[in-house]
Amino acid sequence: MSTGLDPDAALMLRVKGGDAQAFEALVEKYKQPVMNLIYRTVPDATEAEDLTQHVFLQVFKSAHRYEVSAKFSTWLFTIARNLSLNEIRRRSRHPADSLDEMSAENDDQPVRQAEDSRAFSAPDLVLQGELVEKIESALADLPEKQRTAILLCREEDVSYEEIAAVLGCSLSATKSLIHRGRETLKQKLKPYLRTGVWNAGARG
Amino acid sequence: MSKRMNEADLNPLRDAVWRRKLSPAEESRLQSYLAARPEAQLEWEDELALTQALASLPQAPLSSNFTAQVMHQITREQRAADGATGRGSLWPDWLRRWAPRLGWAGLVLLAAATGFLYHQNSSQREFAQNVAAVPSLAAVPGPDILREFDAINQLRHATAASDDALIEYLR
Repeated sequence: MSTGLDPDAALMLRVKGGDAQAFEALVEKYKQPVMNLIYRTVPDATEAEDLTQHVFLQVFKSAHRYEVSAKFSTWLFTIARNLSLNEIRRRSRHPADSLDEMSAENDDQPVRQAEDSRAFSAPDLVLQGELVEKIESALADLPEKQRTAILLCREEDVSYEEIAAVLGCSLSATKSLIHRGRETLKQKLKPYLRTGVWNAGARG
Repeated sequence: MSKRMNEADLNPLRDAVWRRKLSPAEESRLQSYLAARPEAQLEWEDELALTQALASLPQAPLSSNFTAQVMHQITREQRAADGATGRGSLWPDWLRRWAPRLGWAGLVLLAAATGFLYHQNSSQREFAQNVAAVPSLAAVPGPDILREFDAINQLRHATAASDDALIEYLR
Protein backbone atom coordinates (compact mmCIF):
# COMPACT_ATOMS: atom_id res chain seq x y z
CA MET A 1 0.00 0.00 0.00
CA SER A 2 1.31 3.45 -0.88
CA THR A 3 2.39 5.58 2.08
CA GLY A 4 0.78 8.64 0.43
CA LEU A 5 -2.66 7.04 0.40
CA ASP A 6 -5.37 8.85 2.36
CA PRO A 7 -5.95 6.66 5.46
CA ASP A 8 -9.70 6.79 4.90
CA ALA A 9 -9.23 5.68 1.31
CA ALA A 10 -7.10 2.80 2.59
CA LEU A 11 -9.93 1.82 4.95
CA MET A 12 -12.42 2.12 2.10
CA LEU A 13 -10.35 -0.19 -0.06
CA ARG A 14 -10.50 -2.72 2.76
CA VAL A 15 -14.28 -2.24 2.88
CA LYS A 16 -14.33 -2.91 -0.86
CA GLY A 17 -12.66 -6.22 -0.07
CA GLY A 18 -15.44 -7.03 2.43
CA ASP A 19 -13.77 -5.88 5.67
CA ALA A 20 -16.63 -4.85 8.00
CA GLN A 21 -14.27 -3.66 10.74
CA ALA A 22 -12.74 -1.11 8.40
CA PHE A 23 -16.23 0.17 7.67
CA GLU A 24 -17.02 0.38 11.36
CA ALA A 25 -13.90 2.54 11.81
CA LEU A 26 -15.09 4.90 9.07
CA VAL A 27 -18.57 5.15 10.60
CA GLU A 28 -17.06 5.87 13.99
CA LYS A 29 -14.86 8.63 12.57
CA TYR A 30 -17.42 10.38 10.38
CA LYS A 31 -20.78 9.81 12.06
CA GLN A 32 -20.68 13.12 13.94
CA PRO A 33 -19.53 15.39 11.07
CA VAL A 34 -22.12 13.82 8.74
CA MET A 35 -24.85 14.13 11.36
CA ASN A 36 -23.84 17.76 12.03
CA LEU A 37 -24.27 18.55 8.35
CA ILE A 38 -27.56 16.68 7.90
CA TYR A 39 -29.11 17.88 11.16
CA ARG A 40 -28.76 21.46 9.99
CA THR A 41 -30.46 20.64 6.70
CA VAL A 42 -33.19 18.34 8.08
CA PRO A 43 -33.63 19.79 11.57
CA ASP A 44 -35.42 16.84 13.15
CA ALA A 45 -32.96 14.83 15.23
CA THR A 46 -34.61 11.45 14.58
CA GLU A 47 -34.99 11.97 10.86
CA ALA A 48 -31.51 13.43 10.59
CA GLU A 49 -30.12 10.36 12.33
CA ASP A 50 -32.07 8.03 10.04
CA LEU A 51 -30.73 9.93 7.07
CA THR A 52 -27.20 9.71 8.45
CA GLN A 53 -27.67 5.94 8.68
CA HIS A 54 -28.84 5.91 5.07
CA VAL A 55 -25.68 7.79 4.08
CA PHE A 56 -23.46 5.11 5.58
CA LEU A 57 -25.59 2.33 4.10
CA GLN A 58 -25.27 4.01 0.73
CA VAL A 59 -21.50 4.24 1.18
CA PHE A 60 -21.34 0.54 2.03
CA LYS A 61 -23.50 -0.44 -0.93
CA SER A 62 -21.41 1.69 -3.28
CA ALA A 63 -18.09 0.46 -1.89
CA HIS A 64 -17.53 -1.79 -4.93
CA ARG A 65 -17.61 1.30 -7.16
CA TYR A 66 -15.24 3.32 -4.98
CA GLU A 67 -12.13 4.59 -6.76
CA VAL A 68 -9.34 6.45 -4.98
CA SER A 69 -9.67 9.52 -7.19
CA ALA A 70 -10.72 11.94 -4.45
CA LYS A 71 -10.57 12.06 -0.68
CA PHE A 72 -13.02 9.72 0.98
CA SER A 73 -14.54 12.57 3.01
CA THR A 74 -15.38 14.48 -0.20
CA TRP A 75 -17.24 11.45 -1.51
CA LEU A 76 -18.98 10.92 1.84
CA PHE A 77 -20.12 14.54 2.23
CA THR A 78 -21.32 14.58 -1.38
CA ILE A 79 -23.52 11.54 -0.66
CA ALA A 80 -24.72 13.16 2.58
CA ARG A 81 -25.63 16.38 0.79
CA ASN A 82 -27.40 14.60 -2.07
CA LEU A 83 -29.46 12.44 0.28
CA SER A 84 -30.41 15.50 2.35
CA LEU A 85 -31.51 17.36 -0.77
CA ASN A 86 -33.50 14.31 -1.93
CA GLU A 87 -35.16 14.16 1.47
CA ILE A 88 -36.08 17.84 1.31
CA ARG A 89 -37.54 17.32 -2.18
CA ARG A 90 -39.42 14.22 -1.02
CA ARG A 91 -40.82 16.13 1.97
CA SER A 92 -42.03 18.93 -0.24
CA ARG A 93 -43.95 16.35 -2.31
CA HIS A 94 -45.19 14.24 0.65
CA PRO A 95 -45.10 16.48 3.72
CA ALA A 96 -46.84 13.95 5.99
CA ASP A 97 -44.34 11.10 5.46
CA SER A 98 -41.37 10.60 7.68
CA LEU A 99 -38.28 8.48 7.22
CA ASP A 100 -39.37 6.35 10.19
CA GLU A 101 -42.53 5.36 8.33
CA MET A 102 -40.46 4.57 5.28
CA SER A 103 -38.26 2.18 7.25
CA ALA A 104 -40.98 0.81 9.53
CA GLU A 105 -39.91 -2.71 8.65
CA ASN A 106 -36.68 -2.22 10.60
CA ASP A 107 -38.36 -3.03 13.89
CA ASP A 108 -35.70 -5.47 14.99
CA GLN A 109 -33.07 -2.73 14.93
CA PRO A 110 -31.29 -1.89 18.18
CA VAL A 111 -33.20 0.76 20.11
CA ARG A 112 -31.73 4.25 19.84
CA GLN A 113 -29.84 5.30 22.93
CA ALA A 114 -30.32 9.03 23.08
CA GLU A 115 -27.61 11.25 24.36
CA ASP A 116 -28.14 14.93 25.03
CA SER A 117 -25.00 16.48 23.68
CA ARG A 118 -26.59 19.91 23.83
CA ALA A 119 -26.30 20.10 27.59
CA PHE A 120 -23.94 22.84 28.66
CA SER A 121 -21.71 22.27 31.59
CA ALA A 122 -22.38 25.44 33.61
CA PRO A 123 -25.64 27.24 34.45
CA ASP A 124 -24.18 30.57 33.36
CA LEU A 125 -24.09 29.23 29.84
CA VAL A 126 -27.86 29.50 29.57
CA LEU A 127 -27.28 32.75 27.71
CA GLN A 128 -25.03 30.93 25.32
CA GLY A 129 -27.77 28.35 24.79
CA GLU A 130 -30.08 31.14 23.74
CA LEU A 131 -27.48 32.58 21.41
CA VAL A 132 -26.86 29.15 19.93
CA GLU A 133 -30.54 29.03 19.05
CA LYS A 134 -30.18 32.39 17.31
CA ILE A 135 -27.27 31.24 15.22
CA GLU A 136 -28.95 27.88 14.42
CA SER A 137 -31.97 29.80 13.23
CA ALA A 138 -29.88 32.22 11.16
CA LEU A 139 -28.03 29.26 9.63
CA ALA A 140 -31.31 27.53 8.81
CA ASP A 141 -32.46 30.63 6.93
CA LEU A 142 -29.43 30.65 4.64
CA PRO A 143 -29.67 29.23 1.11
CA GLU A 144 -28.65 25.55 1.13
CA LYS A 145 -25.34 26.01 -0.69
CA GLN A 146 -24.20 28.84 1.58
CA ARG A 147 -25.19 26.87 4.68
CA THR A 148 -23.47 23.67 3.52
CA ALA A 149 -20.32 25.60 2.60
CA ILE A 150 -20.20 27.29 6.01
CA LEU A 151 -20.87 24.04 7.88
CA LEU A 152 -18.19 22.15 5.97
CA CYS A 153 -15.85 25.05 6.60
CA ARG A 154 -16.14 24.23 10.32
CA GLU A 155 -14.71 20.77 9.71
CA GLU A 156 -10.97 21.07 10.18
CA ASP A 157 -10.07 18.25 7.78
CA VAL A 158 -12.15 19.55 4.89
CA SER A 159 -10.25 21.94 2.63
CA TYR A 160 -11.82 24.68 0.51
CA GLU A 161 -11.10 22.55 -2.58
CA GLU A 162 -13.05 19.66 -1.06
CA ILE A 163 -15.96 21.92 -0.15
CA ALA A 164 -15.97 23.09 -3.77
CA ALA A 165 -16.04 19.46 -4.94
CA VAL A 166 -18.94 18.60 -2.63
CA LEU A 167 -20.93 21.60 -3.86
CA GLY A 168 -19.94 21.10 -7.48
CA CYS A 169 -18.63 24.70 -7.70
CA SER A 170 -15.33 26.33 -8.51
CA LEU A 171 -13.03 27.32 -5.67
CA SER A 172 -13.75 31.03 -6.16
CA ALA A 173 -17.51 30.41 -6.28
CA THR A 174 -17.25 28.43 -3.04
CA LYS A 175 -15.39 31.22 -1.27
CA SER A 176 -17.94 33.65 -2.57
CA LEU A 177 -20.74 31.46 -1.13
CA ILE A 178 -19.01 31.38 2.24
CA HIS A 179 -18.41 35.13 2.16
CA ARG A 180 -22.04 35.90 1.32
CA GLY A 181 -23.34 33.46 3.92
CA ARG A 182 -21.11 34.92 6.59
CA GLU A 183 -22.12 38.45 5.68
CA THR A 184 -25.79 37.48 6.16
CA LEU A 185 -25.00 35.82 9.47
CA LYS A 186 -23.03 38.84 10.67
CA GLN A 187 -25.92 41.12 9.81
CA LYS A 188 -28.43 38.96 11.67
CA LEU A 189 -26.23 38.23 14.66
CA LYS A 190 -24.44 41.56 15.00
CA PRO A 191 -25.90 42.40 18.43
CA TYR A 192 -24.94 38.97 19.76
CA LEU A 193 -21.51 38.73 18.18
CA ARG A 194 -20.27 41.73 20.11
CA THR A 195 -21.25 40.37 23.52
CA GLY A 196 -18.07 38.27 23.70
CA VAL A 197 -20.00 35.29 25.08
CA TRP A 198 -18.67 33.05 22.29
CA ASN A 199 -15.20 32.88 23.76
CA ALA A 200 -16.53 30.86 26.71
CA GLY A 201 -18.11 28.17 24.59
CA ALA A 202 -15.69 27.83 21.69
CA ARG A 203 -14.91 24.25 20.70
CA GLY A 204 -11.55 22.57 21.23
CA MET B 1 5.68 43.20 7.96
CA SER B 2 4.74 46.18 5.90
CA LYS B 3 1.92 48.37 7.12
CA ARG B 4 0.94 48.76 3.48
CA MET B 5 -0.73 45.38 3.39
CA ASN B 6 -3.23 45.31 0.54
CA GLU B 7 -6.54 43.46 0.17
CA ALA B 8 -4.97 40.57 -1.73
CA ASP B 9 -2.56 40.00 1.16
CA LEU B 10 -5.55 39.78 3.45
CA ASN B 11 -7.16 36.87 1.58
CA PRO B 12 -5.08 34.13 3.22
CA LEU B 13 -5.84 35.70 6.60
CA ARG B 14 -9.55 35.81 5.77
CA ASP B 15 -9.46 32.17 4.61
CA ALA B 16 -7.82 31.27 7.91
CA VAL B 17 -10.16 33.32 10.07
CA TRP B 18 -13.19 31.65 8.52
CA ARG B 19 -12.00 28.30 9.84
CA ARG B 20 -10.02 28.76 13.05
CA LYS B 21 -8.32 31.02 15.51
CA LEU B 22 -5.36 32.80 13.98
CA SER B 23 -1.84 31.73 14.85
CA PRO B 24 0.32 34.32 16.65
CA ALA B 25 2.11 35.13 13.38
CA GLU B 26 -1.18 35.63 11.54
CA GLU B 27 -2.53 37.65 14.44
CA SER B 28 0.46 39.96 14.28
CA ARG B 29 0.00 40.46 10.52
CA LEU B 30 -3.63 41.30 11.08
CA GLN B 31 -2.80 43.75 13.85
CA SER B 32 -0.30 45.54 11.64
CA TYR B 33 -2.97 45.80 8.93
CA LEU B 34 -5.55 47.10 11.39
CA ALA B 35 -3.08 49.63 12.79
CA ALA B 36 -3.03 51.21 9.33
CA ARG B 37 -6.81 50.75 8.80
CA PRO B 38 -8.55 51.30 12.16
CA GLU B 39 -11.93 51.58 10.39
CA ALA B 40 -11.66 47.86 9.53
CA GLN B 41 -11.25 46.92 13.19
CA LEU B 42 -14.93 46.28 13.92
CA GLU B 43 -15.42 44.28 10.73
CA TRP B 44 -12.56 41.94 11.65
CA GLU B 45 -13.76 41.61 15.20
CA ASP B 46 -17.13 40.48 13.82
CA GLU B 47 -15.39 37.97 11.55
CA LEU B 48 -13.48 36.51 14.48
CA ALA B 49 -16.57 36.45 16.69
CA LEU B 50 -18.64 34.73 13.99
CA THR B 51 -15.99 32.04 13.56
CA GLN B 52 -16.01 31.46 17.31
CA ALA B 53 -19.81 31.45 17.36
CA LEU B 54 -19.96 28.85 14.58
CA ALA B 55 -17.30 26.78 16.30
CA SER B 56 -19.26 26.87 19.54
CA LEU B 57 -22.34 25.30 17.95
CA PRO B 58 -23.03 22.05 19.78
CA GLN B 59 -22.66 18.71 18.06
CA ALA B 60 -25.92 17.40 16.64
CA PRO B 61 -27.51 14.83 18.99
CA LEU B 62 -26.59 11.31 17.98
CA SER B 63 -27.48 7.97 19.60
CA SER B 64 -24.61 6.45 21.50
CA ASN B 65 -25.20 3.13 19.72
CA PHE B 66 -25.34 4.71 16.25
CA THR B 67 -22.44 2.67 14.87
CA ALA B 68 -23.99 -0.55 16.18
CA GLN B 69 -27.26 0.36 14.46
CA VAL B 70 -25.52 0.98 11.14
CA MET B 71 -23.60 -2.28 11.34
CA HIS B 72 -26.82 -4.11 12.23
CA GLN B 73 -28.55 -2.58 9.21
CA ILE B 74 -25.69 -3.61 6.97
CA THR B 75 -25.82 -7.19 8.23
CA ARG B 76 -29.58 -7.24 7.59
CA GLU B 77 -29.22 -5.83 4.10
CA GLN B 78 -26.46 -8.27 3.27
CA ARG B 79 -28.57 -11.18 4.49
CA ALA B 80 -31.55 -9.94 2.49
CA ALA B 81 -29.39 -9.48 -0.60
CA ASP B 82 -27.91 -12.95 -0.18
CA GLY B 83 -31.43 -14.37 0.10
CA ALA B 84 -32.67 -12.49 -2.94
CA THR B 85 -29.76 -13.41 -5.15
CA GLY B 86 -29.36 -16.95 -3.82
CA ARG B 87 -25.74 -16.34 -2.91
CA GLY B 88 -24.14 -19.51 -1.71
CA SER B 89 -25.94 -21.52 -4.34
CA LEU B 90 -24.16 -23.16 -7.25
CA TRP B 91 -25.18 -20.32 -9.60
CA PRO B 92 -22.16 -18.23 -10.49
CA ASP B 93 -22.28 -14.43 -10.09
CA TRP B 94 -22.23 -13.69 -13.81
CA LEU B 95 -25.20 -15.96 -14.39
CA ARG B 96 -27.24 -14.20 -11.68
CA ARG B 97 -26.36 -10.82 -13.17
CA TRP B 98 -27.32 -11.91 -16.68
CA ALA B 99 -30.39 -13.91 -15.68
CA PRO B 100 -33.00 -11.22 -16.52
CA ARG B 101 -31.43 -10.50 -19.91
CA LEU B 102 -31.11 -14.21 -20.65
CA GLY B 103 -34.75 -14.64 -19.62
CA TRP B 104 -35.93 -12.01 -22.08
CA ALA B 105 -33.73 -13.38 -24.85
CA GLY B 106 -35.18 -16.86 -24.21
CA LEU B 107 -38.70 -15.48 -24.40
CA VAL B 108 -38.00 -13.76 -27.73
CA LEU B 109 -36.44 -16.96 -29.14
CA LEU B 110 -39.41 -19.01 -27.95
CA ALA B 111 -41.85 -16.59 -29.63
CA ALA B 112 -39.81 -16.67 -32.86
CA ALA B 113 -39.65 -20.50 -32.84
CA THR B 114 -43.40 -20.78 -32.18
CA GLY B 115 -44.13 -18.38 -35.07
CA PHE B 116 -41.83 -20.29 -37.40
CA LEU B 117 -43.35 -23.67 -36.51
CA TYR B 118 -46.87 -22.27 -36.93
CA HIS B 119 -45.96 -20.85 -40.33
CA GLN B 120 -44.33 -24.12 -41.39
CA ASN B 121 -47.30 -26.14 -40.19
CA SER B 122 -49.88 -24.00 -42.02
CA SER B 123 -47.79 -24.11 -45.23
CA GLN B 124 -47.68 -27.88 -45.05
CA ARG B 125 -51.42 -28.09 -44.43
CA GLU B 126 -52.15 -25.84 -47.42
CA PHE B 127 -49.84 -27.92 -49.64
CA ALA B 128 -51.58 -31.12 -48.56
CA GLN B 129 -54.99 -29.62 -49.38
CA ASN B 130 -53.77 -28.58 -52.83
CA VAL B 131 -52.41 -32.04 -53.51
CA ALA B 132 -55.71 -33.60 -52.40
CA ALA B 133 -57.61 -31.41 -54.90
CA VAL B 134 -55.52 -32.54 -57.91
CA PRO B 135 -57.30 -35.93 -58.58
CA SER B 136 -60.77 -34.31 -58.79
CA LEU B 137 -59.55 -31.61 -61.19
CA ALA B 138 -57.59 -34.01 -63.36
CA ALA B 139 -60.45 -36.57 -63.81
CA VAL B 140 -60.57 -37.78 -67.50
CA PRO B 141 -64.12 -37.74 -69.12
CA GLY B 142 -65.61 -41.12 -70.08
CA PRO B 143 -65.96 -42.47 -73.76
CA ASP B 144 -69.70 -41.51 -73.91
CA ILE B 145 -68.76 -37.90 -74.45
CA LEU B 146 -67.22 -38.90 -77.83
CA ARG B 147 -70.34 -40.70 -79.13
CA GLU B 148 -71.58 -37.77 -81.29
CA PHE B 149 -68.03 -36.70 -82.20
CA ASP B 150 -68.34 -37.43 -85.92
CA ALA B 151 -71.66 -35.58 -86.31
CA ILE B 152 -70.37 -32.57 -84.48
CA ASN B 153 -67.16 -32.68 -86.42
CA GLN B 154 -69.17 -32.61 -89.73
CA LEU B 155 -70.81 -29.35 -88.71
CA ARG B 156 -67.48 -27.61 -89.19
CA HIS B 157 -67.63 -28.40 -92.94
CA ALA B 158 -71.26 -27.22 -93.51
CA THR B 159 -71.70 -24.40 -96.09
CA ALA B 160 -73.71 -21.20 -95.68
CA ALA B 161 -76.29 -22.51 -98.20
CA SER B 162 -76.99 -25.63 -96.20
CA ASP B 163 -77.36 -23.45 -93.12
CA ASP B 164 -80.02 -21.38 -94.90
CA ALA B 165 -81.79 -24.56 -95.98
CA LEU B 166 -81.76 -25.82 -92.43
CA ILE B 167 -83.19 -22.54 -91.10
CA GLU B 168 -85.91 -22.63 -93.77
CA TYR B 169 -86.73 -26.20 -92.84
CA LEU B 170 -86.97 -25.42 -89.17
CA ARG B 171 -89.45 -22.63 -89.86
